[in-house]
Amino acid sequence: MKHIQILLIAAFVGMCAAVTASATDIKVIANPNVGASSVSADELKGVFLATKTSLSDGSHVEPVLEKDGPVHEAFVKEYLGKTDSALQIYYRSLVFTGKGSMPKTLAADADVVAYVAKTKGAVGYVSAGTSTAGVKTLEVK
Amino acid sequence: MRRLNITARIWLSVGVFILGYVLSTALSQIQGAQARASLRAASAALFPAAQRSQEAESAFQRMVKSFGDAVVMQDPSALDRAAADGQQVVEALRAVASIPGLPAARSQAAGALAASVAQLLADARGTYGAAVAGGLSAASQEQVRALAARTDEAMAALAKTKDQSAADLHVQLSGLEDSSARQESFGLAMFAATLVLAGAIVHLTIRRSITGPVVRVIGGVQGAADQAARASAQTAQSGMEVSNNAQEQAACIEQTSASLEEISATTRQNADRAAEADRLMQAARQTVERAARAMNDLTASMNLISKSSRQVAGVLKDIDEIAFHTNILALNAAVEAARAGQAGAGFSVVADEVRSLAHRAAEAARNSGAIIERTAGDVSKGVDLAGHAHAAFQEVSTTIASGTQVVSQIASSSDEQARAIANIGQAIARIEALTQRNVSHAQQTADGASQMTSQVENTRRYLEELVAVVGLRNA
Repeated sequence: MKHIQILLIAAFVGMCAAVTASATDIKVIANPNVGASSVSADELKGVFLATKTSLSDGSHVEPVLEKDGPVHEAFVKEYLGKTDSALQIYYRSLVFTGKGSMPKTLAADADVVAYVAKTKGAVGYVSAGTSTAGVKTLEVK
Repeated sequence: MRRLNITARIWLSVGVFILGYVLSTALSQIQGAQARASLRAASAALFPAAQRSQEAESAFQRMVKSFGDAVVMQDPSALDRAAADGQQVVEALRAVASIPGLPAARSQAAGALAASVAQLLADARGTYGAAVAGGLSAASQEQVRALAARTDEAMAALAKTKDQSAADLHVQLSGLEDSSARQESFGLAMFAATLVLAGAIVHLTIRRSITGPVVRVIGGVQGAADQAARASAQTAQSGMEVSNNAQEQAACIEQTSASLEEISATTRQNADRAAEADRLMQAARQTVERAARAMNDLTASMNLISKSSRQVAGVLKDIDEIAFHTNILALNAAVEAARAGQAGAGFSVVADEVRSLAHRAAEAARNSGAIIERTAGDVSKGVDLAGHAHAAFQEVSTTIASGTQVVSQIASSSDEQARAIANIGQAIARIEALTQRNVSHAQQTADGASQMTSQVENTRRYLEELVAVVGLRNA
């Protein structure tokens, strides 16, 4: 019963998140030195699951994540098909097996924009309403 | 091989069998001992080593998983499980290192790996403990990555150890299997070779020492039987011919005997006639001797006649002289008568008469002398002829003597001939007896030859049976 309640709660929270932040409410941003102006969903997933370190045009990329919040939840769910805890386990297993390191994690949209703007190859995501000065917005196809 | 007798060859083939069996058994014993040693090594050292290596690898994998659980799930309790698993790994590796009979390189490698895993375990305990307790800080991430590399190395080393152990065991067992297979195939080959060799020897022995000689003997005996059959047939025929010839011969001998008797009689007659001829010759000789003596008398008479004729001639000469003188006297008387004229006329006539008588006497004397001369000549011729006749009688006498001698010789020869013919008759009588015996013997020979022919036929039948028994008609 307790499991069912947890599931119900999770489903409810997910629905709320979907209501509060959907794909249209998220912008994918990148450092201006990234050549591409658009990225496919698979490429994006690869970048954020640390299986790709460059885009199809050859530009080097590295993911920047938000620590938590509806945008993070929505992005992880929408583009990576995971929950935040599963993503954390995924990254920790990468670290444990020596295949990668924990990604850069920032607390707010503004921090993300600022970090992306100054870090070459950085790719992040922010809510649609966030100012994107100094970064380029990537169109997700 | 060619010099061995049958027994030796058979024993040779049996010996080859026994030798092959003994060799095969000895080799299988040796290889069995080697296989047991190999199996002992496998069961005492290689198998436990492989098992322990497998255990160590499994425990190491469990340890890594537990450490992974601890780090990934941030679960401190997994650290203890990982430590227990790691200890198990170390113990398993130390056990491998202490297995007696394991190659030194393997033992040393296992011991070194045990030490390195123990070190890794200690380091991992600290690093992962810190990572679990304090989250994955940047420094902690570095340490975790370094540990991950070492873990991979240790995992690879463990896998290598396990694979080597398994490979050792596999090599040992497959060597054993190969050895066993080799032993099997070698035993099989040995058996086959022994079988083939012994079979070949037996085959050759049977063929060369039994079948071959028997077939040769059969061939020889068949040839001999054929020849004997021909010979006995010829003998039978010859016997028959000899018998017939002997019978014919007997008939001829009888004829000869009869002829001989005739000849004997004729010869005796010849002898008799020769004796008679001898007698006749003796008589003829006496007659001739008498004739010779008569001729001698005749010759003497003739000589006397001749002498008488010469005496008559002398007388006739005297008469002639007388007539001559008378004539002269007549002439003288005529002359005297003429002178006496007339007185004398008558006288002159007488004187003329006397002179004519004297003439006639002289003429008669001359005629008689001529006759006597002729007679003397004839008598001389007769004497000569009588001498010739005497000589001829002498020759006849001599010839008759020779003839008598010849006839005597003929008579004695005829006697000898008669005796010889008698001997021949006896010999022919014996020949006749022998011929009769020959006839019976030839008959017996012909009978024997016929029996021999039938015996040869029997021999031939037995040979056919023998050929069927040997079963190598054309060998």
